[in-house]
Amino acid sequence: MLRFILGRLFSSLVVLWVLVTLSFFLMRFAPGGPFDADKKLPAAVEANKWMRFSMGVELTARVAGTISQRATVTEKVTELASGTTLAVITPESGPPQKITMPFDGQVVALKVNDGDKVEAGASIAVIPKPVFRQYLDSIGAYLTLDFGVTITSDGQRTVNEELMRALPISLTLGGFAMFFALLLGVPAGLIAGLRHNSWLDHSVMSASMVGISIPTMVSGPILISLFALGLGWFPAQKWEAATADWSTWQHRVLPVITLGLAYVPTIARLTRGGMLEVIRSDWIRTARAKGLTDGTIVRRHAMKGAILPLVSWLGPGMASIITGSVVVESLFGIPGLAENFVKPALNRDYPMVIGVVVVYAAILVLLNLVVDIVYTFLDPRVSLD
Amino acid sequence: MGDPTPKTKDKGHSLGADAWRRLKHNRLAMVSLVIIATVTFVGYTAPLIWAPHVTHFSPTEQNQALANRAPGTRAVSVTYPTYDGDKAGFDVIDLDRDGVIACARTQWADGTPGPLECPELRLVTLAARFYDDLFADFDVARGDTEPMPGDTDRDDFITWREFPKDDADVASQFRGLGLTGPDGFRKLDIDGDNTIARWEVVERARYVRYTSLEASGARSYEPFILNHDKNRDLKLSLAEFPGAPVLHTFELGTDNAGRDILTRLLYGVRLSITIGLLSTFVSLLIGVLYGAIAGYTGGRTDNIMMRIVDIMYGLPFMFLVILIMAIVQDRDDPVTVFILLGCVQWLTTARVVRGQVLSLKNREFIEAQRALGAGRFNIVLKHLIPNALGPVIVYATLLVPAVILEEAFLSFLGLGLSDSLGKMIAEGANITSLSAYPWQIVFPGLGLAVTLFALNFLGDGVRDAMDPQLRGKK
Repeated sequence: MLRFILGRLFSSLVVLWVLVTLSFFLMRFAPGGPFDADKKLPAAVEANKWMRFSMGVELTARVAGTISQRATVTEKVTELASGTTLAVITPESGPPQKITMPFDGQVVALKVNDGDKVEAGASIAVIPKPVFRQYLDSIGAYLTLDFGVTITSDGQRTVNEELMRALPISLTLGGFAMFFALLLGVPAGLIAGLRHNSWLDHSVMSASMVGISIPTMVSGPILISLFALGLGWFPAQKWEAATADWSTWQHRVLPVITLGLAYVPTIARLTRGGMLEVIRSDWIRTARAKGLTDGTIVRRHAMKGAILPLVSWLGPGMASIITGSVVVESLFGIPGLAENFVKPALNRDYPMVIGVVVVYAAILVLLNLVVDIVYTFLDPRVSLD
Repeated sequence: MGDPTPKTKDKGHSLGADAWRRLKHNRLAMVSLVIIATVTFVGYTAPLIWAPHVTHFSPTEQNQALANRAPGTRAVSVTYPTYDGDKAGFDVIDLDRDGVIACARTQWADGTPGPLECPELRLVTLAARFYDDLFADFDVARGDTEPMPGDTDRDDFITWREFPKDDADVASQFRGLGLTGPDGFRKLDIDGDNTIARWEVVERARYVRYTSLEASGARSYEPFILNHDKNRDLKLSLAEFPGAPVLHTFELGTDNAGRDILTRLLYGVRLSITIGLLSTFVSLLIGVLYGAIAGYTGGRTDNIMMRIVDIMYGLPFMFLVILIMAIVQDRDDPVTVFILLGCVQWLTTARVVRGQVLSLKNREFIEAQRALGAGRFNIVLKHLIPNALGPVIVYATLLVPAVILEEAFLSFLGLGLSDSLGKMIAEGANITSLSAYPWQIVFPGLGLAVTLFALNFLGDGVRDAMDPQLRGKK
């Protein structure tokens, strides 16, 4: 058991690492950068940003002296080979110091001109760090769960702060929705399975067939129109993105139902399938032969076996409920993780994207692990080792 | 004892024919099949038949003046205009009553021919602008004395009190054109109720709303004259006159950019089905090859290949897709979308095919092939894969709606195609549209739901037909 858990944790870490690496390089090699605003920033301001988000390398003067032989470069355009002289500092006494490119690439800002006097330690130029160097530097920080500061907040908030604010919202939404879906789906499935081929069974199955074809992006607006705009049971105004509110229960009911309803059909079908399988098995026949009542058979014997297929679905099911919550969150303007995924990716907010990817992947991996462990308790035939 | 000649009635039939026979008895699946066939046909003929000849609007024809209009609103189509030969149109344009719409070629200072000058058409474009701005300039909410900016402050009716009189200071440039004053009011008030509603302005304005004039920036009369002036005298006579533009109806209303929802819906369904089928094909291609190779090779290769699949099952794929869609340059390219969606869906296919191949590869007919000296690829491609396809087809029919949903999901988040149903739903799914313009979400939502519904039912039917033992179990 322990060996299994450790093994799974290890392979989960590998999965996380692959994901982080993949998204890191995907983001870095995507065209456009986080500082490409509509308005072009002055080179010195942009250089500060590159340094603040640890994506740049600063070249400094080792000696005080006068600048000469400044290279003519167009910032962020001219490609320079490694070793190209950017400027030469001639001190009062002693040998002149050459400032050279540490690697192939461009210059974000070359801050000095010929004839300038610079102090020792003054910043001469800022060079973008090569992507692989950035990766090596960042991955260490990621291991300590430090994802840095978000670029879109201009360094005001760290990724962790942002995640700590948004994650509980998304988790409550997903958790309540799953709870609601189970509450509705499991009994429906059990009844359908027990009354196989009755009108109850047929209506549950037809309803689930209809339900599976109505995605949240359609059912959400229907529910809003019916219960918020039509009947006025829930406040509708606060669901516009700018003023969204998640603090009161009135604002939570419809999103939870919308998200949950999408999974009721799947749950009902799985439970029904499991029940049909179990009810025809030998041990149930034995229990009947012993003279147990139908109620006892279902409660004590059949239930556990009937929900097995459901339990193995819960892992991927949670995964899809988390993915599905993206639509619900944007429908209802819920300030959860969803808006922290699409927008940062579009704005090239590298640290935020990595943070969200790690959080989502970690949740999925953990849930799958938990489901596998729970499975062994429910089904003695399955052994993890 | 028995008759040695075989009975002709006991003809053998293939598995496919058998499945088809069973499918035909499933009424819901057959209805779904008909729905899908209809939807596919209508979608694929949209650019050819429906947009130019039935809805008369293009899915990309934007017009802010027609934004958020209810189903049944009428307007002149810019992309597919038709003309009715209405003589009243000619009388409206021929202001000097000389029987022709006359133009003259101007000359630049250096003697080269300049643009066409048509005084009457110039007035027509002026009149079109007058009708366009009528409500903005003159509609006053009840109780107000001045027109207020913003549509909400208006009552959407113009009474005689509000209507511009034929005097110099209100509408000097329109004097004598019959647009302002009692004459103009009477012409506009089609139903004679002494108030002018928007539809009345639209009906009347069609006589001056020549899309070829507007399309060329209202300054160049070249295309309009040259298209219709058959005897090249730079004059349009009554015989050459194309007639007034016909008003076409937005049967399902317009969206927030003034596009026809029905036309967009047709294009959207076409896109959904294309993406669904192509993505499924891509995923089958990858999955079947991967699974067949793993299953047939066996041993350690199989072990490693399936291990990779296991690990990939744990990846939140939709998030990678979102990430990739967020960084690709050409987001509005269906090829990117269907390849991307196909690439994340092959895992289950690979597992299914591998299982099938494992159970088939030691059967006699494969042994026979090996004994005959057939190559490995020959055996895999010609014998194993075709025999393993049954369960794959069942899976694939249910994969199509899943992919369609994923594509809609991407577009809903603003990362997909602009033609998509998901995009339309996203545009209609906010509180303002829901309460004021519900048709913007009702019809695309219905379109998506019906498509998914039919595909799911068909998939269910195909599964029952291919594997009768499963019937009623799942």
